[in-house]
Amino acid sequence: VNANEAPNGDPSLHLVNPEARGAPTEEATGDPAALRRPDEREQAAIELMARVARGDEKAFEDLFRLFSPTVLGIVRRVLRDPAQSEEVTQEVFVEVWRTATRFDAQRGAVGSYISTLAHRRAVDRVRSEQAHTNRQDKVASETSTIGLDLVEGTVLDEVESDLIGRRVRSALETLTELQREAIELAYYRGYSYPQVAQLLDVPLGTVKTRIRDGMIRLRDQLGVNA
Amino acid sequence: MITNDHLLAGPYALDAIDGDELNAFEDHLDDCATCTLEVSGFRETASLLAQAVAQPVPSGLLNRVMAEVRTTPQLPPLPAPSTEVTADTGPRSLPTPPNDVEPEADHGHAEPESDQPDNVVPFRSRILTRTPSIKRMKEAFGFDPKIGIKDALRKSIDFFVEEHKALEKVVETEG
Repeated sequence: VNANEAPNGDPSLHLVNPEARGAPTEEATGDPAALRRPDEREQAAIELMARVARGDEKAFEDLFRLFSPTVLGIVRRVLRDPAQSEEVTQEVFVEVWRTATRFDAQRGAVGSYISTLAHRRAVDRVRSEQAHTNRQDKVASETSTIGLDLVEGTVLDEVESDLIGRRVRSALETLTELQREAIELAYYRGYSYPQVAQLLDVPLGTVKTRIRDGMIRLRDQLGVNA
Repeated sequence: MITNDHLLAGPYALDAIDGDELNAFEDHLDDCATCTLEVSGFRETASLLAQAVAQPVPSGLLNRVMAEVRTTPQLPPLPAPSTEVTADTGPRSLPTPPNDVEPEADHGHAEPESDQPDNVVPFRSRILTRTPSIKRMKEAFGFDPKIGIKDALRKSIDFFVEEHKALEKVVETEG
């Protein structure tokens, strides 16, 4: 019943192989176990959330450092506009702060909670802004205009997110083209599935099933316990 | 339409449904444990899709967030489980907490509840607040399991294994 009960077993599964740092080619298609949510990190995130729930600002900063790159990344994918993306990222984290008191780890991973929140916010913003013009103009400027003064992550985080990036990309490659396109348009571009159907010129029902089939495949490829 | 509802788990987890269809699917989720589980797995998958596009965060953002956080009160923790079977009836006002209430970290036992105004927790996270509850079953129908879930699972599995063996024997003897 609880999708979260990842086995608490072998912690070595969750460590980034030191060799992986220099060798991006080799392990990208390795076993999905290494991508399973690292239990210790999730445990740490849960503890941070509990401290945040008690009003601990320091813990909140740590939580921000941990998840803001993902939040900004996905929001920016959907919104494209850097300034708006930062605004939404801010909204998301303020919301996390407000609602941390009600977060229940039994019901989902911290990261999943936060990115669900982030994606939804971004999508809401896009859809409420029927002025698509704004967004289209920004398509070209996708390359980072972000300043150099960056929040520092640890090397491990970078390696790990790199690793996840590669695994996700190789998992996406196992989908049929229609599945992959439909999922990317929906998730990374924030389109509704009827809009996806229109863009891909396929019937609604087809898009519905392709998205679901593709997500099942991705989930299994990426070793998400469900 | 109803029979096709479960197909929407994919689009739903990617925030790709709107309007009436969204509401209908969320109603469907209330009754469909399979979809609920599926959505949760898809969301976790989607969060990996998000991590895959993570990008560096300008430090000014942290400062702005912290500045806002310092002036933003946190919600009180969820009220103790109520026996009332609540339906999602839209926005309701939250009980006003006394000023001295300290938010509690212990949210492990919170029951699914729905009296959060839509603006409090994003409505999409409704799914995160949905947990099958034996307690509710007990209250509603007097169902009171005597066997723990682990034992029950083991017994069920044994039963199916035995049954399967028995079936194989039948097939063998018939063949």
